[in-house]
Amino acid sequence: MRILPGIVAGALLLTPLFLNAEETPPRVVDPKADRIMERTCEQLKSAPAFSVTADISYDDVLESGMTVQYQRYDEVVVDRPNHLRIDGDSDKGPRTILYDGKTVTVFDPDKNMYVEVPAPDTLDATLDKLDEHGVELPLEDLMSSEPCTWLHEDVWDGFYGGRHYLDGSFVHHLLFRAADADFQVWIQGGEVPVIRKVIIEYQDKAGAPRYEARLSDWNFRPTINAEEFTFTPAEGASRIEFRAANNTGEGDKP
Amino acid sequence: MMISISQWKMARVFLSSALATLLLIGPVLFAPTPGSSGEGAAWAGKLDGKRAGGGGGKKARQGGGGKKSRQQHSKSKVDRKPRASSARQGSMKKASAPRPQAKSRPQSKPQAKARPQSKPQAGQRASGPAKDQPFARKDAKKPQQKASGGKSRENLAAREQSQTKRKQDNRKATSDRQAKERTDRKSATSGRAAGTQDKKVQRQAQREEHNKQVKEGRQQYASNKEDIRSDRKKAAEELQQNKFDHQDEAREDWQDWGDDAREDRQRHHEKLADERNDLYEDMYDDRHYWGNDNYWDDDDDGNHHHNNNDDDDDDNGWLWGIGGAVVGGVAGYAIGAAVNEPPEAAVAVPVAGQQYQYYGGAFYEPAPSGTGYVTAPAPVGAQVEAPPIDCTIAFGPNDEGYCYFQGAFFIYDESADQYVVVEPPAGTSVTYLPPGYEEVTIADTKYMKLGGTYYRPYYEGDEVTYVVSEV
Repeated sequence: MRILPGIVAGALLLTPLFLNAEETPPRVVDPKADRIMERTCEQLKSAPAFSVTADISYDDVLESGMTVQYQRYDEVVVDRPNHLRIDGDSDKGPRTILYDGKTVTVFDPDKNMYVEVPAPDTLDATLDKLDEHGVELPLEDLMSSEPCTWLHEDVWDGFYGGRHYLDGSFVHHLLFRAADADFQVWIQGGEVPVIRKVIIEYQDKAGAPRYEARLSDWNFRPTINAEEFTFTPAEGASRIEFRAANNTGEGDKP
Repeated sequence: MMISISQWKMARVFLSSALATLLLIGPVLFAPTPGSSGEGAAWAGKLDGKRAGGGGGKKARQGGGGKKSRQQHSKSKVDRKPRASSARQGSMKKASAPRPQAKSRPQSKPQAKARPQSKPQAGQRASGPAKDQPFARKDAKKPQQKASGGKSRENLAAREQSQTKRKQDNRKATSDRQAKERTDRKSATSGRAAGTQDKKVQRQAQREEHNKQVKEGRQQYASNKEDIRSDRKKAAEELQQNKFDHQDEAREDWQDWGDDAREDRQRHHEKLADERNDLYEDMYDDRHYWGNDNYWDDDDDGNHHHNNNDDDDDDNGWLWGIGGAVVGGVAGYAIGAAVNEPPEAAVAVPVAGQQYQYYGGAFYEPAPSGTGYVTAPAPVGAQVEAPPIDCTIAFGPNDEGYCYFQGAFFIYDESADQYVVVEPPAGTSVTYLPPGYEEVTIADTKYMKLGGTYYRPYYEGDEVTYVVSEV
């Protein structure tokens, strides 16, 4: 019987060593923060459709160590289970993403070029496919059928920061920490809780670049027109392809 | 038992009286009339029966004779006649018990104590005639009857005196006995009172002791409860502290791990940065060597940010801008654009027998008209000391880095310490093309042709890039 306490004590002593290697620390999250976040995610999850506007800024840390912040603006319409439209503009130019349940299209109005590929029949799978192609969507977690997966799988620390001022009102301020990033989430409570602001700070990347999104114009009963999810090429629009990762140009002989 | 004896006595007296009455009125009642004896007996039986029914209750009325009937009949007589006297006696006898009984009814113990009191009375009855009034009277009557049998006056007086004396003695004895009984009762009462008082005191003491114990118990419980609460609180605090400690340790460990990883990455980036800084310093010096760094004015072209800023994510290029002195913009830099003369700081760069003027990434060649210069595509093989300051880094298929500027690819030649213009390396993607390209479609695939180079547009992520394609 005396061996057992020794084993336990040894395990406790060795725990930091294992943590130091690969293990994620034990999850210690304030239940209130968990609850508010869960409730908000549940609202998103249960909504058959919603629209929201996102004002996004994100950092690029240059090799010199300097940080450049870019801006992006997106209008998002989600019609579950398999419709999505994002119209946006950014420092890199305008962009439209359309998903009608059969194909997904990324369109550059400035260059009048688009890429269109067959898509899975669910939004989650389509988001994954876009992710494989390197297409980054604004807060794509919010569009998935499980908006809070990150909260359970990645977050290991978190607490409720209180009700803090944001754009004229006081809202819940939650703070979370995952293995590779810190999250701050501002949530407007009430019968229909919504995320008002998100900051993601990637601690594992050089210079800890930040992603910040302010979400507004939440509408859980948007007027949906089925045609708005289907891409109709403009005159003279060029269809191009996603570039494969191993493309060396040798196969691109005209 | 006492009841049976008295009943027997009463019955005997009653029978004697009845016999005497019959002797007196018998001649009248039993006169020689026809049929009178039977009817008379029947009437008497009815009378008895009524009496018995009146005093006996249901059983007596039903019963026609036998032992039970007789007992009932006898009992009814005893109840009727002696009731006036015996009731008084009985009440007296019973009074000694009932009094305290009445007083002590609420308490059961004094009643139990009263019982022994009756024992001496029973003993008194058994021990002497003076103790029982009926027997005393019977004893007194007998001499009186004998005296009336013809005694002398002296004897009568003596008997009367003696009788008086006995009466006095009896009264005195009765008085003494009653006094003694009162004393005893008083004593008993006082004893009981004293006992009751003692009991009260004792109970009060016990109650106080009990209350004291309860109070102490409560205090002890409260103290223990406080101790328990304190212990629990302390344990909870320790647990919380341990939790925080563990959390802090875990966080510190994690942070240490993150710091180590970050330091590794930073060392790696610093190494790359050093190399780039060397390159940048060379370029910076070269730029100043080459003079005017404001030559390329930013005209706030709408396409500027798309074409010139390398906001490419991580891997596709570096932004070579210099804080506060970014040389950007390509307005007017179109291949074939005519200028009167190159900038003053332009240097001559010979390439394959052709003399070019080079400044800030732009090559000038004499205009075909013979007057002035035109901008020319960067001639492959040209070697310059300073690459274009506003170039972006593009990586080739083998991860070699090029300085890309307006369709030209410069690579650093370490042996010559020069930047050499090379053929666009196939497979290298760039984020913009300079003006002057033409769109061509070959086999349903769209290309952009710039000079002799074909660029195929692709989506890399959500951004359109142009990949050098072999011809």
